[in-house]
Amino acid sequence: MVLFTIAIRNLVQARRRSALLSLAIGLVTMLLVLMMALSAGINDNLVRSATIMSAGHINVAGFYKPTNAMSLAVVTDVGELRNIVEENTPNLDYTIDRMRGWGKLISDTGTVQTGFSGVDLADESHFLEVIQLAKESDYKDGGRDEIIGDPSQLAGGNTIMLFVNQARRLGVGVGDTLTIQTETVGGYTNTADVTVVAVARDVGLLSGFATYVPKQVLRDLYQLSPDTSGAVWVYLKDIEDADATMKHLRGVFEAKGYRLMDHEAVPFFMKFETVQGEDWTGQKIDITTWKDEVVMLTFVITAFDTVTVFLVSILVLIIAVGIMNSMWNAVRERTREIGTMRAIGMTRTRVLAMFLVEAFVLGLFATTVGATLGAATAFGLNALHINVPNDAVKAILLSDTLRMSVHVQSLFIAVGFLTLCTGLSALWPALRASRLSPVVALGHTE
Amino acid sequence: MPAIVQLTNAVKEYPLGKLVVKAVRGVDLSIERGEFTAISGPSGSGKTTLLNLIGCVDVPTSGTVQIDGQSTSALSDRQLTDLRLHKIGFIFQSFNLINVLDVYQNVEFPLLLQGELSASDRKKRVEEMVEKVGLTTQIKQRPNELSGGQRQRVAIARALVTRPAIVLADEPTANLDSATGKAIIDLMKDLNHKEHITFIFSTHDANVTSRAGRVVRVVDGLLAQAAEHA
Amino acid sequence: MNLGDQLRMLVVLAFRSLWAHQVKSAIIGFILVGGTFLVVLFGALLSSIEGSMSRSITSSMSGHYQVYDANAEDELALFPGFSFGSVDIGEIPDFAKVEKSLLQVDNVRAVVPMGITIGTVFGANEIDHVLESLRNAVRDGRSDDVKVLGERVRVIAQSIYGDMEARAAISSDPEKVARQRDALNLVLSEKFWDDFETDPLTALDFLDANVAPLAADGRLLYLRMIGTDPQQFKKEFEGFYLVDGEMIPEGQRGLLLSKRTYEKLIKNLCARDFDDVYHDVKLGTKLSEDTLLQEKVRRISRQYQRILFQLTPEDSAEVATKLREFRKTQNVPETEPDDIAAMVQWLLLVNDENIDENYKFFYDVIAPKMNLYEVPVGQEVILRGFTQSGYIKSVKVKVWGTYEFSGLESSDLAGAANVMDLVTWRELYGRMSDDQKAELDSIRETVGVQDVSREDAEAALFGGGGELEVAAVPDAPVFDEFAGANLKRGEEEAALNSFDPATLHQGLALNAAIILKDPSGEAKALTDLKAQIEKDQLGLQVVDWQKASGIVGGFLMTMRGVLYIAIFVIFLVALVIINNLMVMATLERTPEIGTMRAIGAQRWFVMGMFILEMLVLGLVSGVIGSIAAAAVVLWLGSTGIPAPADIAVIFFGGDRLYPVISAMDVIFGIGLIVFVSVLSTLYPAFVAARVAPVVAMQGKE
Repeated sequence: MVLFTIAIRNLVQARRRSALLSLAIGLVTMLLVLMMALSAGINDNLVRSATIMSAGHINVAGFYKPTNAMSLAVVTDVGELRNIVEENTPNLDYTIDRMRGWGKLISDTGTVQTGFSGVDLADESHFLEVIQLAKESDYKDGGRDEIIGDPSQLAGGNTIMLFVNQARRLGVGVGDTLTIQTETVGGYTNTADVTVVAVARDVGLLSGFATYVPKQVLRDLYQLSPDTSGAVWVYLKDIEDADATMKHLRGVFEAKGYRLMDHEAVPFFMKFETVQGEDWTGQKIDITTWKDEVVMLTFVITAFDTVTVFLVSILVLIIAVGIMNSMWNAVRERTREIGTMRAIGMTRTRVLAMFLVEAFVLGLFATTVGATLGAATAFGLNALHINVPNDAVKAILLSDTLRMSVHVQSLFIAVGFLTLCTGLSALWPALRASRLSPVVALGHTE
Repeated sequence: MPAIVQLTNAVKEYPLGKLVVKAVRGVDLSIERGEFTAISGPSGSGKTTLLNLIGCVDVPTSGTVQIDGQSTSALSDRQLTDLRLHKIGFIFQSFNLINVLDVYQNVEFPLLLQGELSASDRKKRVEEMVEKVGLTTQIKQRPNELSGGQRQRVAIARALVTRPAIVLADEPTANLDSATGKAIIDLMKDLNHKEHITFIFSTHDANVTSRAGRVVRVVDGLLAQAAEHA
Repeated sequence: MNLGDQLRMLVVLAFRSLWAHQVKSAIIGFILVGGTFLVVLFGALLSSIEGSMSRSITSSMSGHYQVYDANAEDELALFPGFSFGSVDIGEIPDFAKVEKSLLQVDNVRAVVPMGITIGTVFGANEIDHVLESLRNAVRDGRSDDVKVLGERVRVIAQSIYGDMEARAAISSDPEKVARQRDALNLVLSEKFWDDFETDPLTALDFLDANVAPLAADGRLLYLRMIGTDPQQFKKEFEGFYLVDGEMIPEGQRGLLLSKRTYEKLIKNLCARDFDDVYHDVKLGTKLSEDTLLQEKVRRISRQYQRILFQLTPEDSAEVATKLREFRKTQNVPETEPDDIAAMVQWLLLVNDENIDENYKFFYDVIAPKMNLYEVPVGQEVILRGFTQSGYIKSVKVKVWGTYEFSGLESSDLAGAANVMDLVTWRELYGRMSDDQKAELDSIRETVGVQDVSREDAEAALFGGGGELEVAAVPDAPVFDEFAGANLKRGEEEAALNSFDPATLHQGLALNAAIILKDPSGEAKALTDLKAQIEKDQLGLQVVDWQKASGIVGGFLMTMRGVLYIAIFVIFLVALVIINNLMVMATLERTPEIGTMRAIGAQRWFVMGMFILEMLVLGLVSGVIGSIAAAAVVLWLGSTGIPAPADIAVIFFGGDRLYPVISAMDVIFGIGLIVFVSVLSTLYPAFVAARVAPVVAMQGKE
């Protein structure tokens, strides 16, 4: 513990140097924390939009081939599937099942291409909780500054809930009527008129392609029987378990004699063509995770993390140079002191330890401050609800607002990693210090 | 004609932690043009501080220091620097040459700072000065290629090249062996005679004091008026 | 004069001090060299990307500028973005007026009318091909062919009938399934074919309406259509060149598919995926090592039906024979099953050893017998478009050929655009001129076409009641305006398919590309264009290629933004570190500074000395770093950087980016580094200037 005292005193002694080094290390820590927070924020956005709009943590879906050359993304006997999932999924939170459709939404003034999610409100208690409604003024010029509409009306009838971006494009609001038009292969065009009952706030990019209608509307459009559905969405207590649970469920379904499709990490709508050409009819089950269903968006996170790694490596290199130089100076300045200590019986190892401890203490202090500031900045930025102006940036952030997500774990990683880097940069000078012979050191005049 | 250096009740205090150290505690001293004055005294007696005050690298806490009739207390850093540049030449204990410059450039340096002479005049002046200190053959060498005595000769040349009114030397022989030290003092004395330059130097070497025209003894920050040699 | 001497002294001091403190200089120099290297390298790469992109995009679709409605809801996006929604960029109702006005601007060479809309095509399925052939055979009176083809229709109907069980399992409407069964039964009955001989047209309509949809293995393709003046488009966009087929003749309706779309979307899935795998293997991927590719190969093999369905019985037999022989040369044991399905699966299940030969066999023997493309060059295709108000519009147009933009051959984004004549495009978009409408009506009258919809055909046979519950089919696409005329259209068809070329430039367009005579005069041209638009009150806005390219341009700007932020952060940290190093170096040099101050150097002199030192170091490092970066860029420029992903192709303006370095990149890099070095030394210089001259007197070195 003497070493600690010496280290801290020396750092205080060389106040200016310590302060400047801390500033640099702190800055980099802060940056690392912010980058990780942004990356995690993007990831959260992705998870959030994906698991609200595209998938459960795990999807038990599949294709039904009424003929050899036709493929429908539906599962039959959905009740049984849910039973199996509910009985065999460890750490299950809840399950729902959704119909899925794709088509056009037409108003008097506009058309949008979108997906349709068929919901059964009686079955989905969570749905109304996660959906946040938008104020009328968000999608209608001169609209009221209050939320109107009632998503619980999605329970039945020809109703629909849109997102702000669609409502704006279509020029409609709550109470207006829209026409859904779906196309089936072979040239049928089926339509249904629906009434807008609510408009939800956008949840990232994916909300451009999602709307909600009662299941029955989709069943009618596609003329499907009541025990069919699109997919069973399985929500777990911890999303991290998704991969393992998916594997587990595959085993379960296989054991029960279901025919399973090979796991392929692409969204279901990219599988139509492949399935269509395969030589089988009837039902096959396809089990995927949420990540598979939004795989085309995960490149953003990969790209962002690459930039982070690249940037942080360069910065760490610069800082290492700075620390090394600074420790060199410290060793030079304190050569006499080292000589004295060696003369009065300090071992080489302890000299080495003395310098290393100094670097680690400095690193720990600076990174802790940096991480704290970084986290504070992240929270601050979150609180500001900064709106992203540029479409490309929106696409990259997968959201309309800047969102930072600070995980305690990432703080520890940042602090630990950079402290280690600091310590390691000091290794060489410290080794040199420990190798000084006491005679030379004492004779050193400066 | 007024004294070239005139100290009136000059006091210099330094803060040292919570204490205040009185390095110079009220000195009255007057030095005439052309004098060859030694300031002697034991370590810590305050002679360097006294020299600092005379050399205008420091100003008194109270009292006045007048150089060539001008009080230093009210001057800005820029004016003090200018005063040093034009009126005072410095010779340091450890020579303090600029290591990256050769002999010629070191000597030329203050002239460049003055910026008053043309390149050819400077060259003439520098070469003349270097010749006076006997280093013409070493003129292109760097300080670290010279012996201690040679370095101090360069320092003397640098101090004198601007033709200052006063040359201050802080223990000019302390880092030299006695023979070399003697030669340096000889050189200084010679210049004092020939060029009528006022020399003020600090020393605690009796061999050096003995050659001074006037010896000022400093004890505990005060003058102990000592005998004046003729 | 003397200031000059002092400066020279400062420079000498700077160089000598740098040399004297080699370690410090080396460390700081290292950071600065690295910094310049990164700035210049990435700056040059980005500029190169911008340059390549600008070249490839201006010479393919955008021209130097694009104009469109000033009050448009949305921004013009020549390349598809993330949104599938209809993009509302307003309209240019009278293009002729705009063209006339803008051509008055000095530097403008051409104004190319354009319009983008999405058209859908049903990729024809097998039964469609058979029915089409049957129709033609009936029309041409080839009774032998009619018999053969009729037999194939029955075989197909039989196979669909077998699937009805599975269909019933998911249908909400058992009655409807029953009706479908009835229809199939009817087709399978002798009576139907007896009737066919007496009234083939009604029977064909019935087959089209009731059997074809049940087969339903066609695909719905979304195609991005650019309506323009094809001749002018070809002339003005240097990047444009024809690959297959021929150019749309002047004054003719027609469609040119992009080669990329043709190969990656329209081609038979089996062949297309086989191409991909072959391509990957040719690029050096080992099938034995890449599990993803292995999976893909297995998937292709499972798609064998897509090939079998396309073969006539005779072709099947021929292929089977040849496959059997081919298998022998490949040392496959004779005990393996030798039915055609098994053999085609084997052919497709390639490995590193046999991929070359199997691929060759596929293209030599099997491919010529298949319809490799669902929308083949030389045939007519029915395109459907949605008008702004959701109306469906159908047009029939001939696919004359395929084209590419040079440099952008492998870009999906650029390859999404299919070119068609603006007259047909206006129909698809739902804006025909009155003249056209009148012309069309009169032709219809003379030909005596009646719109026949599916329900009518069904009703005719079943005696009514064949209405779908939800399906309020607003139109029956295949039987739209022209389809019914198929049989009787002869010379009139030519009349429908041609138009006065001048009409292309009269009437509606959505946007227009401005081609300049002298691209270097861009800036002035922009002001002139804006002035001209103002003067003639055209109500248009002008955007450059980057803005016009939609989200692609946005990505480029984002990349630049990220680069600048990264550089800023790196320099901020470097600044702190260099500052720290310099402060320590300054403290070491305190005695020297004190001496200078004592013998009369002013503060500015000391400060200047330090700043100059850093300036020199910055310059030297900047030059070294720039040279290193330039060397890397030159090296990359000779080998090229392969595009890492499809989206990169459009950024790279080709499959490889050949970066070049410009003086601007270097000047920017060196300038920035010098600025940073000087900035980082301000504080140390200030510290140095504050060194008291007293320290010189302290007798220590």
